[in-house]
Amino acid sequence: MDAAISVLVVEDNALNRKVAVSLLEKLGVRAETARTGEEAVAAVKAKDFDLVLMDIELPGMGGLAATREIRRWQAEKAARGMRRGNIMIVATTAHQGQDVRKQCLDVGMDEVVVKPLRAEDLQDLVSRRQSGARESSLAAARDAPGGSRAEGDSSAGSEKSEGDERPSQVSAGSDNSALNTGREAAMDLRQMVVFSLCNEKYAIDINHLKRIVWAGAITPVPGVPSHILGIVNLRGDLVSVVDLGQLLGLKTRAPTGSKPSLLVTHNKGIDVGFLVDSVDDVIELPSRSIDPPLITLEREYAGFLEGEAKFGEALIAILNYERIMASDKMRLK
Amino acid sequence: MIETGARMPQTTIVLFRIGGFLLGAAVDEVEQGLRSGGAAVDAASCPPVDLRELLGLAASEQTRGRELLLIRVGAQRFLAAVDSVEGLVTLDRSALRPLPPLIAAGRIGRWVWGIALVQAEMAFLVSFAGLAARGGGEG
Repeated sequence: MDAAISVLVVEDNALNRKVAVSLLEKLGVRAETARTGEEAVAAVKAKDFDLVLMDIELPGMGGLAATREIRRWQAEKAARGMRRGNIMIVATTAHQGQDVRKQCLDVGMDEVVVKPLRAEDLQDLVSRRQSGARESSLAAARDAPGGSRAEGDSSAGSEKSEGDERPSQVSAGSDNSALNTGREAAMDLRQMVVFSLCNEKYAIDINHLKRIVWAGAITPVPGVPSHILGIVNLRGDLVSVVDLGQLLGLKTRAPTGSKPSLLVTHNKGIDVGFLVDSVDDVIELPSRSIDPPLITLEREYAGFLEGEAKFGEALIAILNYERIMASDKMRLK
Repeated sequence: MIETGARMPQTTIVLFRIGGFLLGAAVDEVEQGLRSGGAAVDAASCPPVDLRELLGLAASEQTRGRELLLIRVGAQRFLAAVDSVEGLVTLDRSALRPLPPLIAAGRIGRWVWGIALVQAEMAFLVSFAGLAARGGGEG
């Protein structure tokens, strides 16, 4: 059986939080959440977590400072002879630079995962942490009266010993095959971000998403087509902004009253923010529920649709992100 | 917030505006700013260069062209009309960014090599080096 682990997701963006929790739930892991560094520190002091996914850019106390505080608190506990919580802290960040990685490791984080969080990354982390939790249980049993003495506390669980196995390989038997069947079913599910454009619902596969942000000040750029609105500064990262409605040939932009958002996507090393009227939900769609598109766009844009799907009462147009990115409209000359 | 390391080298930029756009050029490439009509400049030795055309500004983008920049590229000099010269700014190199790839691939990428983050604004950094190869002057 898999060792049950407790996970804390620290993320200020509500949708990103939901995505992380939802990906973890697919792996059979229940997660708790915190929105700020202060909340994260309080949560860790109040409860033993095995794994903390820590966004490094948070309002108020950032992820680096929160980690520093958690490690300081752990060291203090250890110095007083209290068993140190064995917490694996993994930075989640949109920055890929070595300097950011070094800063994360310097404050005591165990690993750095570049956003967007992917199911494979989380599965790997959870598997390794589960192995670590199992090792800790065995060590605790050995520490117990009558047990053999453990040589030392295993470190934060980021290291994997020779004998470690992935959960699906840990034991044979009916429990495990049921687990595998469940995972296969989960693999058929596609996670989509649903958003609104001109009062219609659209969705793209979450794997293309790097982050979702409110659309802040967009600096126009001279000499570009009108669907390229300009550049936005996302905490120092400059990202091109494309009006997705215009790109899809949707001419009427009805005021929705909601705050426009940017879907920041990543493709072949290029980040592009797509402006949408609102981001509404993150859903899971079985692949087989996506039908060929009956919704029509003008002929020029028809290739941008992958299909459509019913979700509750809503009909959602699923966009073909790769085709959009490969289109002439996204290749300036 | 990411903590930065040692102090970065600095660069000085001349800031100017055309239409609604804030632009910048390396101080080495700008000899001086002149008020339009206020100084006699030898038109033969300083052919005019139309930055609006180079940068692809839309026809609807109103400009006044009240000031001139005397641009130096090697031994050549050019005159460019701008709306206003905002002055000099010295920035850490960390405040300079390349154009985002999608935009760099377009027309603007031929003349703009990057962006300077100047307080809350972005200044498009123009490189005039290509003017010499182009032969200079309008058109």
